[in-house]
Amino acid sequence: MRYLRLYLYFLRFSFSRSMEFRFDFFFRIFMDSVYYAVNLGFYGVLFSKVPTIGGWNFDQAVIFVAGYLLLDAIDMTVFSNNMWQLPSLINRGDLDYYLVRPVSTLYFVSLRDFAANSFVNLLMTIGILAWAIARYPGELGPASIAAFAVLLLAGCFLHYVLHITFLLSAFWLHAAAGVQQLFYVIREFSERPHQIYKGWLRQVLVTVLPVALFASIPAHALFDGLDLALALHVVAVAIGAWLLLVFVWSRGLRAYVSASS
Amino acid sequence: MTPRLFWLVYSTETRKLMTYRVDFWITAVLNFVVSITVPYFLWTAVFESAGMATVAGYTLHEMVLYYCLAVLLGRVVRGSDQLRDISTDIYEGSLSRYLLYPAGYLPFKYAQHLANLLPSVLQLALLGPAIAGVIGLPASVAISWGSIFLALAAVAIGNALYYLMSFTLQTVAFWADNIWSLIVMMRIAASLLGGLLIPLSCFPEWAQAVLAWTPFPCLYHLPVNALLGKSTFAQAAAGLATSLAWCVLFFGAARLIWRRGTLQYTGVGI
Amino acid sequence: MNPPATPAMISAHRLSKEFTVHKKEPGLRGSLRALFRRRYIVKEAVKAASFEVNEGELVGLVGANGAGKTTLVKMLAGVIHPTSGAASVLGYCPWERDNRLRRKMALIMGQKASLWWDLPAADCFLLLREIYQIPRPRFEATIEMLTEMLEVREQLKIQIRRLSLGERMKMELVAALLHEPRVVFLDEPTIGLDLTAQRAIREFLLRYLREHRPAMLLTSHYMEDIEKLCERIIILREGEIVYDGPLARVVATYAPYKVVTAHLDGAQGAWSAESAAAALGGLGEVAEAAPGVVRLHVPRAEVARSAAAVLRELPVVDVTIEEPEIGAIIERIMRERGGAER
Repeated sequence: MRYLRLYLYFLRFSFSRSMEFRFDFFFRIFMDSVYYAVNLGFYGVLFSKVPTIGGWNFDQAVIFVAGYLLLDAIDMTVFSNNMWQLPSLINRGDLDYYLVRPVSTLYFVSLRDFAANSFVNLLMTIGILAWAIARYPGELGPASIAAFAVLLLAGCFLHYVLHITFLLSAFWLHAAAGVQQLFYVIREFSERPHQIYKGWLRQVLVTVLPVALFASIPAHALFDGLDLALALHVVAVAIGAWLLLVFVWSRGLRAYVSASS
Repeated sequence: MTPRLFWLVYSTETRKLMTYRVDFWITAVLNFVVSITVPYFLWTAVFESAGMATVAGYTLHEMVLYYCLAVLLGRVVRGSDQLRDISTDIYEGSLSRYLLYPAGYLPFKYAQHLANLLPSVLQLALLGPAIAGVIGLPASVAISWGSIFLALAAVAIGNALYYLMSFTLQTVAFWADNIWSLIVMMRIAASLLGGLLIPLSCFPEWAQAVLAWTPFPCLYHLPVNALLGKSTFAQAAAGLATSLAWCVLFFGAARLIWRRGTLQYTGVGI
Repeated sequence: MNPPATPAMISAHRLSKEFTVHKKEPGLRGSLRALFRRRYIVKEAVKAASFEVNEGELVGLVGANGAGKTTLVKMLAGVIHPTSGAASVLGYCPWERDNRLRRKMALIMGQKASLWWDLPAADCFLLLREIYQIPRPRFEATIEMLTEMLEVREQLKIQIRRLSLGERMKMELVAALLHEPRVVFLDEPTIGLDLTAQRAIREFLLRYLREHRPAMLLTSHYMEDIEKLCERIIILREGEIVYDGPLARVVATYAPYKVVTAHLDGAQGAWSAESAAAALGGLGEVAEAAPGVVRLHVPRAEVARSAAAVLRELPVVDVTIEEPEIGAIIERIMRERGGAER
């Protein structure tokens, strides 16, 4: 409850601050529109050559794409600013003030900077997803759509946990841009249907590096139904990833050297 | 700018780069492996689904090779992705320092940019042959001195073009605060329209005809296909000529905007 | 020594911190080599520091740059973990970062801003109220009192970045003291400020200490801060505590001399600086000899005899006998190498 009230302050601050950068606001809308067009365009070109990929037809792929675009927009709005700043907070020793406050430091550094200027993108991607579902010729029950939405949110959570875990390498490696970038590279796996991956790689992508759970598994549940085993699997992976993050975070703080001013 | 100064800027910049030890190897190998794995599985699924030996003029083997080269050559074309320092210089005011140097800003920055290319070139030199060894060259692909020469020319022009495009975009920073999103946008657009995400021959005919007149194919499509011998000499030459024209155009635009911008530059922060 | 009646608010026991830094040879070749193999050196920033600070006490932590002051403060504030040793702040281990402790503690760093750059201080304070869960009436009363004392009432609604450096530091102080901490760490709170602002902050700190009696640990580069604020100081040299005791005793311990200054009669021009120095060299160390003034460092036991000798030998207009300047002594101790004094 208290953390929710704190979050309202973060929201207020970020809205009043983002008014300062008008251009950025429009540029972001512009950039993300291009990003959405490129992703949809890519699958459009691809499906002009084949009827199905990994068992999905074009209409299904569009919903999948809309799913990961929405996930990206949520991440951009809620987490991205914080994630960008995190390595430099660690390297420049600016974590100090957060550490002395009687509030979870992890909470603080993860959520304090809400990207108000990406808010429109959030609306746009919700629109794209709604459009993708509306144009889908098959039958999609409200229950499966609800399951899809919940799984997508779980995907957002996993995305955040995985991302920040990579970033925390900054506690040990002072120039860790490469390790941090690695997350974005691994994330590319999540932007293709997970059915195309074979063998142990698929196992890895649904467990250790659960990027398939971001958007592909939710879409899979939407088309093929969500069974108990899958639901339990998602919950288990989410809890496991969270425990790992908490562990890495506490080890990281031990190694934190707080660059002397 | 004298060649000696150019070299000095270049080597200083290279040294800065080398200090990132872990980074260097991780970026090099892991990024490459992942960026190949995704298209590999994707295209395996596509070829299975299509049930044909070739899609858009490539066999699966050639397709995988295409992506390997597009990633490796593309890195050399783009240089490091730290293409934001010009706009940073402008709105943080550090441009003032450069304006005092008796050397042109653009060549100075381009020297730094070329230095940041070194790791990408090293990766190409190390990973390129390694890939050829691992996955083998299909019989249909003939890499000759001629194709290597054409590819090098395409990479050089592509590098200059990409740099000029991003330079021009970044000069918007004279008027707007935060322009990183424009740079990202350009990169995203180029990845689809230049042939990094998917070979341009997958596009419908009309789209290919239009794309041929844009600056994008020179970034990925031309270098890779020139090297693989997939495009004829005439096609490659026409593409390079178009790209050169774009270079001239962007150079002119950059200079014009630059002059306008510096006139009203206030040198914030210094 | 008798144990104190109440346990100390801050206590450090053999607290040590080591850092490893990598060494890079210059030049391209050195960089290339560093790609594969790196040489590390271990730097001991703080070596087995032990001390205590009690309620209502303001202890000054002094030392040269890199002596380990900031590292020590950060360990006690729980920001970094020590390599070895123990500490207790209000009965808690600081680096376990218990919320109950964090609610009663404040850290103020002159070089790092804690307030949000783009917002007015009043907004930042609201957020802090939420973070520290300060009841509204108390929150308002505290702001009222602190802004009154620091004379920044008028600036509450102005964006932080539009404030002067001095005003900003005052706001930082308000922000840090909003929750009425029992333990306050101040790391260079007056750095970069002009003299008026420095004085205002000093006066504020003294008054706050008197009225609220927290335990305070202060580091500063400015000797004036230390002299005006601290009755007790701890001197760090290369990570080691070389002195811990009353400020006043530093002089007696480390400066076994007094300063005798003689102002000479200018009319009797025969006395040049050199001849004065030559005549008085036997009485003590000649610290300064300029036309018209001679300054001697005379051993304490011989002050009376030496002063008499000066009066006898020189055409003196005025003689003063003073304690040496504290700041100068402390700085000498800080810079001395290899612990010859101990």
